[in-house]
Amino acid sequence: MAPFAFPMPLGSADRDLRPRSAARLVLLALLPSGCHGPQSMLSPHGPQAEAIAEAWWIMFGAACLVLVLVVALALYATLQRAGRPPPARPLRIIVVGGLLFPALALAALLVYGSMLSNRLVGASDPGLRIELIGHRWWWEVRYPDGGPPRALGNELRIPSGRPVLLEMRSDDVIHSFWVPTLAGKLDLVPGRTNRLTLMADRPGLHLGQCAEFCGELHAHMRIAVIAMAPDRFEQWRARFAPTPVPPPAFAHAGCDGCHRHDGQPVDGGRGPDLAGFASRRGAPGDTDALARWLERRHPAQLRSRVADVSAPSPAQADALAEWLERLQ
Amino acid sequence: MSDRRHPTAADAARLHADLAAIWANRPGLGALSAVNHGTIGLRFIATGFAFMLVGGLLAMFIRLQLAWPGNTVLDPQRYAELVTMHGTTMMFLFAVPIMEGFALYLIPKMLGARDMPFPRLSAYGYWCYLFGGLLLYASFLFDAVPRGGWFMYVPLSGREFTPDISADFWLLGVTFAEISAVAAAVELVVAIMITRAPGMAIQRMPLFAWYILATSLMIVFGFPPLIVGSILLEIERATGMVFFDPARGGDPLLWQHLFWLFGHPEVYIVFLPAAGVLSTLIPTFARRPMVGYSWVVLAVLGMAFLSFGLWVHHMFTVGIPLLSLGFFSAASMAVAIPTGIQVFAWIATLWSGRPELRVPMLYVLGFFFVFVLGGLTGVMVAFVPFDWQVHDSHFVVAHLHYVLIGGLMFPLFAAFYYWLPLWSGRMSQRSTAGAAFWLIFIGFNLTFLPMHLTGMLGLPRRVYTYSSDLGVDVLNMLSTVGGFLFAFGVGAFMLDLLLGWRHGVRAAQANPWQASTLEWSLPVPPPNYNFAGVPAVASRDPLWDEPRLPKLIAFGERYLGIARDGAREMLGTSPLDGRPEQVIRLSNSSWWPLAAALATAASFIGVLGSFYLLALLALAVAIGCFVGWAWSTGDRRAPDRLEAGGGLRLPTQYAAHNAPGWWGLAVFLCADATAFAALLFGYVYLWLSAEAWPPAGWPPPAAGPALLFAALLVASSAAIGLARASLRRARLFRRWFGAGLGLGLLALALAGWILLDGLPPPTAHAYASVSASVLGFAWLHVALAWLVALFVAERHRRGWVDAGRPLELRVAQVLWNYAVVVAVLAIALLVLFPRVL
Repeated sequence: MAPFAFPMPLGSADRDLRPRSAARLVLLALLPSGCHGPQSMLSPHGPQAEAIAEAWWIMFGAACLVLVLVVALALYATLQRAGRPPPARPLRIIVVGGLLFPALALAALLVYGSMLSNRLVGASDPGLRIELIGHRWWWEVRYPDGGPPRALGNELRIPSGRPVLLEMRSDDVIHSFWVPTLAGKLDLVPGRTNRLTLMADRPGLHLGQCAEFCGELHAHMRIAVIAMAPDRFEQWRARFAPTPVPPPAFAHAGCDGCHRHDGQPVDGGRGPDLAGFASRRGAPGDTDALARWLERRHPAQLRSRVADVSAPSPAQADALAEWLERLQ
Repeated sequence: MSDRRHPTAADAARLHADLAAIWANRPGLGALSAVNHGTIGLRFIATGFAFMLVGGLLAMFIRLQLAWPGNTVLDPQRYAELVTMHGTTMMFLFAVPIMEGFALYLIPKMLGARDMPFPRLSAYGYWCYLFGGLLLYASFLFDAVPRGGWFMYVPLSGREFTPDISADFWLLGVTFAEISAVAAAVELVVAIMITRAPGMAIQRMPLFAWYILATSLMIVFGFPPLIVGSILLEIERATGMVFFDPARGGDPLLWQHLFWLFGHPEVYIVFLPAAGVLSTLIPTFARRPMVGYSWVVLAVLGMAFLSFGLWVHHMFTVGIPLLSLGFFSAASMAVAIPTGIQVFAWIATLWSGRPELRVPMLYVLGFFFVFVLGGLTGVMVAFVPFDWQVHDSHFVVAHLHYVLIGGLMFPLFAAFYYWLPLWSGRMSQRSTAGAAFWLIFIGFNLTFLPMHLTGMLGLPRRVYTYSSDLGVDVLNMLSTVGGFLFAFGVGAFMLDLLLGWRHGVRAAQANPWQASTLEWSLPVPPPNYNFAGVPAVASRDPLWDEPRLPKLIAFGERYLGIARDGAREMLGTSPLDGRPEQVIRLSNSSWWPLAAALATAASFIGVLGSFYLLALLALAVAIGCFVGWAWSTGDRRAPDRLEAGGGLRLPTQYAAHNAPGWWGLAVFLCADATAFAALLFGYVYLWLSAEAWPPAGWPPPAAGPALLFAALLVASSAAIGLARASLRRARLFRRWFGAGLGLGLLALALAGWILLDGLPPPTAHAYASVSASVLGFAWLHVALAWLVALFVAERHRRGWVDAGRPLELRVAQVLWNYAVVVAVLAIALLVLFPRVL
C-alpha cells in the first residue's frame, strides 16, 4: 500500500509503547502481540485507558470461564449416553445456574463498574482547558488559556503526566472523540458542551478517530494526540513561529478555500489548519508520496458526489508537499 | 354428550369438504384477497426470508470493501448506503416480520384455533410490510438510498445534512413496516388471550404462546416511540417545524431517546420468539416437558419488562450524568438473569430427558455457543467504562451479530427444519443438513469472533476503509473469508431445505418428532381451517397426554364441528381459564386490505415526493377503504346466539362480553397511549433543555378557549354515555348520541382556534412545534372517534347494533372516552405547563 493511502497522513515513529512497570511487562508478554497498536485500547498509556483495559482482562477471563462451562453443560446434557440417571432435582440447575450465580456475579461487577466510573470521572481538577470542535470531517483544537490563542487542525497537543480538560462541541452533526490508548470516547453533540478529562502517562503519539458516524468521510476523521513533556509543551505554547509562505499552488489549487496555516482560532473554518502539519506526521515522510496523496486521495477528491475542488496538477502537488513538509 | 351420535367417517369427510369450501382462498389472482392466517403467515415467512437474502447480499459487499485497507469496491457514499440498508433490512424487514410470520402461522394451530381473530388485519399488515419494504428499496431507483445508519441520528439525517429524499425513504418505509408489526402484535395478543382451545387455561398454554404474548406486548409498547419519532422527523424535514435542531430549541438527543426507547426492546422482540422456538423444540427432543415452566414464563415476562429500562445503554457516551448511567447499567446487567434462567431451564430439560440429536438440535447446540458468547459480551458493554471504549466500534458490531444471529438465526433455522414436515410432510436428510450447519457455524464465528479484537484495536463501526497502522488488516481479511463461508452455508441450508421440501423422506406419521403441541394433530399440509372439530385440552402437553386427540379433531368432535351459512367460525374462550364463551364469525377473503394498503402506500408516496394533494386524496381513499372494510367485517347479520357443539349454545361476538373487537381496541389503545406518552415525553424533554418555556415574547396559550374545549369534550362524553344507557329506547338513544356528536364537532372546531390564536407559528421554535403536535394528536383522535361514532350511529339505524348486540357501540364509546381523555390531558399540558413550571 502507498504510505498515504489513508488520507490522514500519519507516520509511526516517535511512539513510545514500552510497558512501564515490570508487572505490566509480564502481563503484556503473556498477551498475543496482536493486541497492540497505536489505536488499541489494549495498549493503554493513560490512567483511564489502563483502568478500563484491566477491567477488560478481568471480564474476559470470567467470560471465558462461563462460556466453557455453559457450553460444556449443554453438550453434556445433550450427548449423554442412555441409562444415565437424570438429575434428581432439575429445578436446582435453574436456581443455581440461572439465578444465584448470575445475580452474585453481576452484583459484584456492578459495584466494581460504579466504583471505576466514579474514579474515572471524578479525577483531580485539571489545570489546562482545551476546546475541541468537531467538523465534518476534521477536528479543530483551540487553546484559549496559558499563552496566546492558538488553533490546531486534526492534532491535539497535551502535556504528559497532567490531566487536561477537553471542552467538546460540534459545529454540525454528532461526532465522537475516541483515542483508545488514553481514554474512552465521548460524543460531541450539537447544542451542548461535553467535558472529558484526558491524561497521557508519558510523552508519545496517540491516534484517535471519530467514532460516531458523521457522513460520507467519517472514516477520514482522525486525530493525532501528541503528548509532550510538560516543559516542551510550555515552550511550544509560548513559541509562535510564523509558518513559511505557501507556494502559489496553495491559492491556485483552491487549498485556501478551506485551509488556514497560521494557527489562529477563527470561526467558520472549512478544513483543518495546516500549521504544524509535518510534526503531526511523526516521522519525516516521503514527500513524493505526500504529493501523490494530495493529487488523488485527499478527502476533497474522495467525496464521490461533490466535485467543488479540482485536483492539483502533479507540479502543484510537488510544490505543496514540499511546503507541507516544512510546517513544523 | 353421551346422547350424541358419533360421526362416521363419511360424516367427517363431508364436514371436511364443506369446511374446505368455506375456508378456501380464491383461485388465481384472487389469492391476493386471501386473509387466512396460514396463507398470510407463509407470505410473511417467504418475504422475510427474501429480505434476509437481500440484506445478506449487502453484507457481502460490505465485507468485500473491508477485506483490505484502501479497497475501492464501494465509494464512501455507497458504503454508507449499503451499511444503512443492511441494518434496516435485517432489523425491520427480516427479523421482526419473519418471526411474526411464524407466530401468525403457528399460534392458532398451537392454541387449537381455526384462524386469527382479525384475518383482514393480518392481510393488511402483510401488505403494509411488503409495500414498506419495496418503498425502502425503491430508493435505489432514484439514487436516494438512505445512508444515515440504521438508527438515523439527527442532525445527520435532518434536512440540512441530508437534503435529498433518502432519509424520507427510510422514515416512511420503516414507519409503513412498523404499522404492520403493530397490527400483527394487536391481533396476536387478542388471539392468545381469547381464542385458545377450551380447557387451555393460561397456565396450560404452550410456552411458545407465552413468548409470542410477551413479544407482542413489547411491540405494542415498544414500537410507538419510534413511530412518533419518525413522524416528528418527517414533519421537521417536510415542513420546517422543529424538534431536533438545537438552534431553534430542539435537541438531537430527543431522537436518540425515542429511537432507543424502541430500539432496545426491539432486540428482545427479535430474540423472544426465537427463544420460544427453543422452548418448543427442546422439550420435544428431550422427550419430556420443560423443566421449570413457571420459571420460564416469569423469566420471559421479566425480560419483556426489564427491556424497557435499558435504552440509555446505547447512549453511555453522549454525556449523560453518571448516576443515571448507573441505573441503566444495573438494568442492563439484570436482564442477564432472566436470560440465564431460560438457558439453564433448557439445559436442565435436556439433562433430565433423553435427548435425540436430530437436525434441529444441531442448531440448538450452535445457539448455546453463539448466544451465550453474545450475552457475555453484552454484560461487558453494560459495564459503563468498558462501553466508553468499545461503543460504536467493531466490538459492538461483533456483539450485536452474536446476539442477533445466535439469538434469532440459529433458532430460526432450527424452526425451519422442525416445522418442515408439518407443512410439507417431508423431512430433510441429515448428512446435507449437517454440512450446511457446519459451514454456517464456522463461517459465522470466523466472521465475527475476530471483529471483537478489530474493535478493541481501534476500528470504529461504519468506516468504509481503515489505515494499515491500526494492525487490523489480517483480522479484516479473516472476517471477509468467514463472511463468504457463512453465505455459502446459508445457500447450502436453502438448498437442503428445498430438497427436503420437494424430495425429502416422507415423514412416517403426521407427528414425526412425537411433539406434544396441538399443531401436530393436524393433517399434512394443514387445511385452512386447521381443526375440523375444535378440541378440548386438559394438560400442557395435550398430544402426549391424550393420544386420541388427532382422531377426535379429524372427526369434528367436541366443538364447532359444524359447517353452516358459508361462514368462517371460530371459538372464543375466556382469557384466564379458557371456558368457551362465544362463536366468532370471521370475514372471508376480501379485497379491502389490499385496497387499503395500496391507498396507504399512495399517501406515503405523496408525502415522499412532496405531492401533498395526492397524499391527502390517497388518505381519503384509504379512509374510504377502512370504512368499507369495517362495514363488511365479520357477519353483521349473524344471529345473537349459535350452536357451538358439545351441547353448548353461545353468543356470537356481537353479543359477547370478551368480544375480539373490544379486546383489539383495548390493545390498540395501549399502543396509542404509548405513542401519546412518547409525544408528551418529547414535550417535557424539550422543556427541560430549554431556557424559557414558552420562549421570550410569547404568552402561554389562553386558558378560556382551552377550558371551553375541555368542557365540551367532557359533556360529549357524558352524552355518549347516556346514549349507551338508553340503548333500549331508540329515540332517546338517537337524541343523546346526536348531542354527543354535535358537542364533539364543536370541540373539533374550537381546537383549530386554539392552535391559530394561542401558539406561535409552529416553525418558529420547538416549543410551538411540539405544542402544535400535541394538540394535533388530540385533534386527530377526537376526529377518529367522531367518525367511528357516526359509523355506529348508521349501523344502529339499520338495526345491526342494539341492546342485545352492543359490541360496536361499546367499541365506539371506549374510543370516544379515550379520545376525550387524551384531548383533555393535551390541553391541560399546553395551558398549565408554561404557567406552573
